[in-house]
Amino acid sequence: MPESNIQIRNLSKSYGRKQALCGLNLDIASGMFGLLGRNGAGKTTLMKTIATLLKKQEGDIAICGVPVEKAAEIRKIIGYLPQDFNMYGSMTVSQALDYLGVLSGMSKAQRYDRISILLKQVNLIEHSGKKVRLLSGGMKQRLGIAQALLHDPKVLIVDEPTAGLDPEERVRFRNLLCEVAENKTVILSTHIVGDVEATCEEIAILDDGRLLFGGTVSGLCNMAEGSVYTAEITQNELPKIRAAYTITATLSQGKSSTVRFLSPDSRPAIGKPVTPGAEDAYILCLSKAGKGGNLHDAV
Amino acid sequence: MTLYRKELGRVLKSLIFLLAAAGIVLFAYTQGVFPPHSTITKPEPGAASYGTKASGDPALIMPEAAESLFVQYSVNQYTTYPSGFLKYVKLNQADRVKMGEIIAELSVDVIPDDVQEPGDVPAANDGTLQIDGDSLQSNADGSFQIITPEGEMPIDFAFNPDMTWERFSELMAQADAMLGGGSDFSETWMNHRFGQIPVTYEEALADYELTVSHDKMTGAHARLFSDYMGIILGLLPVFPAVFLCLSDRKNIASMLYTRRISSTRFILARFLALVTAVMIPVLIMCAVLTGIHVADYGLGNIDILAYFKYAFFWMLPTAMASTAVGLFFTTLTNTPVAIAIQLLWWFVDTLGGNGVYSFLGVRTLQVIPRHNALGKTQAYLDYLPDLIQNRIWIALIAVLLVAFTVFVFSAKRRGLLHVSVFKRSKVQSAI
Repeated sequence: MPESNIQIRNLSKSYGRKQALCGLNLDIASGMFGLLGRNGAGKTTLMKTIATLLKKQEGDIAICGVPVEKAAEIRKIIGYLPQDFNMYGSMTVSQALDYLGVLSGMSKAQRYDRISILLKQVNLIEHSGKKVRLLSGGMKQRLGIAQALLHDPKVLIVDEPTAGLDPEERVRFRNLLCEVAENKTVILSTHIVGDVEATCEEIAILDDGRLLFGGTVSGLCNMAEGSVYTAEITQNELPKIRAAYTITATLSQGKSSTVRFLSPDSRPAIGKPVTPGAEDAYILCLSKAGKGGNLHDAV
Repeated sequence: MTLYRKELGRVLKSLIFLLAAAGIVLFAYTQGVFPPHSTITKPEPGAASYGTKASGDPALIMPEAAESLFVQYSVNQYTTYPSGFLKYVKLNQADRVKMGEIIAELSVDVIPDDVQEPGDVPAANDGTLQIDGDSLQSNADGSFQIITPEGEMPIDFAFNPDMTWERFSELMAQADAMLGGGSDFSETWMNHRFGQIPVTYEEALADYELTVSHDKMTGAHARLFSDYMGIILGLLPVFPAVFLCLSDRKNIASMLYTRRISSTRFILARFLALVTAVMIPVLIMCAVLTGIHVADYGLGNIDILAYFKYAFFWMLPTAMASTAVGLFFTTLTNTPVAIAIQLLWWFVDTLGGNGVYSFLGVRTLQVIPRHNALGKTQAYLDYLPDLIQNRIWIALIAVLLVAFTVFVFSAKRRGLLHVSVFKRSKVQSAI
């Protein structure tokens, strides 16, 4: 196990009576780390708490050995890309980066160097003079990652970065994240399993503020071994299958359909077992949690 | 310093600032202080008038004020400025009786039998003034009005010569209270409205010589300029401040919050940039006006720095206060509520009746001191200590609001403060 850069111990946070995080324990090492969960699972609360934007109520967080209470110190070593990143629309791309560089305490020379490098890295060099309000969604997200990397942070916190991007931009953004993750800890929060599967080795799944799973993507897939099946059925049979099992994919082919479904407790009467994918395993994990199970204990 | 320059650049390029700057210059132009409409000239002997001044003499004030009260009482229509705006007050029957008693005590001749309750005759008077039935008109609201034939003077009023100043002041205070305040008979206004006497040539000459020696001309012009600029700087700077802070919404705030910069440096840079921006059009006008006065009076006869001294001493605290109100309340609430708050302060200050003119006294928390005169140097020197105190207080309030803004910003960036004025926060979206 690589050395842990972020340690989270018994972390709890609530909004009034709503418990957003409940006794969370997590170790995050260098490299890409995926944080999965439904909407409302507590991902953004966790990200914001690590980014010093929210105050924890119980527990401890240490980032590179610095307790999160020392917000001024933490801000020096983290970069944050919020959900729906935005910047002053009247600024150009390079002006926006320069302004945020000043807020990060960078000298003029440092800003000049870093902005040039980052604009090339995120492929925005040709758009450096373009107003932020004129950027497409993908370009804006690339500007977002550039600003988060501006002061060369040790930890990068990226919250739902691919939501709203078209497939091409999504792939490009994922690749970009992998490039910048070298020598850094990148926490990628998302509910899109494909993003995590394509980029992260270590992952955690949150549900209702609790940790459902913590480990590798392959570990998650292994847990679903023998629980995923595929079958070719008629359209008339589809409602019956849907009622009996959790379907993870359906491919319609005229009057018949190929369904991929979960059957963790017993071998189903139809279909044949297949190798589970990350998405199958993730849905299985959530469905077991819905029945009261907790796969984390078993890992 | 770099952040200050960047924030200043952002403000200067914003449409709201350009509109505010245009408003400041336009206001100066329409009020006749940019360019100045008049010059200071030495009074010539034998002029028809040199103006008037308040005498402060009870012997002059009392009969004039009493007669004015009587005239307004006669038609049951009193002119007041309770909130700075003109308001005509009509008293009900019971209050008319009480006012009648005050009139009766002020007069040697009048028994206001048109409003007396039967048998309720003031005992303090010997004489009576009879008003026949044709002179009385009954109004729909039950009140009466004395009809004076056209071309004739109203009923003669003879002031009670035995009235003391102390008792008179008490009666006027009662009358003012009955009228809801803000009347000519309030303590502040009475000495100014009544007992005016002509300014003599010698006095006019002395004031001119003081203006020349102390103000070196430009000081007097700068005071009048400050008077008008105070009015506009007491309101307009709140707009760029509010709009600059509101631009941090739409997920931009978290980008700022997670940066290394301290809350104090960030807010201070923003505040100084906003204040600098609104002072730029003022300082440009000051430079232009100084040039105009060089042409009018000659370089050797003016204080070339007078406008700039007044800009920093008189106008700057006002600009600081209105900017700080915008900064604080917008940072706190993420809404434009600061505009309403500043508008209220401005309204109370400029139109709040008493104390509008500084020579009647400068209130501690008056954000806009007034000196609506070209000259009156002695009056200025008389209230200068109060003005200095006032300016220090206003600047301190601004600094205090900036300190509160730092506190609020700091708390918000740690997620410790959520103020939602118009909409309920959605917990789920934050999770």
